[in-house]
Amino acid sequence: MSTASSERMSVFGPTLRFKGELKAQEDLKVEGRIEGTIQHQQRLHVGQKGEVVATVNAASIDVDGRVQGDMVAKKSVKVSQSAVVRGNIRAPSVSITEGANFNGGVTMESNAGSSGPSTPGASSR
Amino acid sequence: MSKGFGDSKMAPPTPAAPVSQGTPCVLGPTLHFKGELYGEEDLEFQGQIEGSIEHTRSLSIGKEGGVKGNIRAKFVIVEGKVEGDIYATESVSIRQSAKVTGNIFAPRVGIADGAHFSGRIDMNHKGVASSKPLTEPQAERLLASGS
Repeated sequence: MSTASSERMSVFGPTLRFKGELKAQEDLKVEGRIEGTIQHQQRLHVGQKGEVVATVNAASIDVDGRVQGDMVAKKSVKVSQSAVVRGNIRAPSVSITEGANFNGGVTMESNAGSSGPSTPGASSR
Repeated sequence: MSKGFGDSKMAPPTPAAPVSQGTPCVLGPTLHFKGELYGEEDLEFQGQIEGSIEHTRSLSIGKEGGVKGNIRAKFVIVEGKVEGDIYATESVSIRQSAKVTGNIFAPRVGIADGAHFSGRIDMNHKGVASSKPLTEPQAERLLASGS
């Protein structure tokens, strides 16, 4: 039934705006704007046009766009060159590409995921 | 600047969105939204949403999709479940697999044989004309608060 979803990942298009709570269990690319909270079980990709003003929980997070808020990932967070991030990051593995705009704290914890629904960024700094 | 992208749904050779080439943007079945969703591009919705949808183009609620709340769009195609009112400025099409509980306001409405529908249909609701001025301030409000 949901086999199709694994083949083509969901794309939250550039004109879409959402305000509220988002929960998902499939890879998602965000090109639009999301305000609120994101609870994600898989990979979340914030595209170049994407704008996220939210607390984000996911397995892994790739940021090419703008994120304002704390990010907690079970595996990794990648902040690319085109990204603009304001917030704290908590993940076992964090990479920030040179040229990225990042303001916030980074906490690398291997058990970041197990304390999953905790208060993100609380222990950073 | 993203306007040009939204206008040409077939065109974009933009490497940024290879998935949306030719096909509308798709929101998969495991997505659960709670809140307001606003969009200006063709959208296929397979997830679940509790809240309102404001859309200026074609919106399709897929077989696995479920909506609890009101929907406003230009064209609405329902193959999944909708609990709430549907306002369309052009047409509403209820497909065979659909289950709709709520009222429909649109100049053109189609309900396929086999579909479940309970509610009222209003085709000459001048509110279609008035639903547009209704949506616009709301849309603007969303936009304004968004930027």
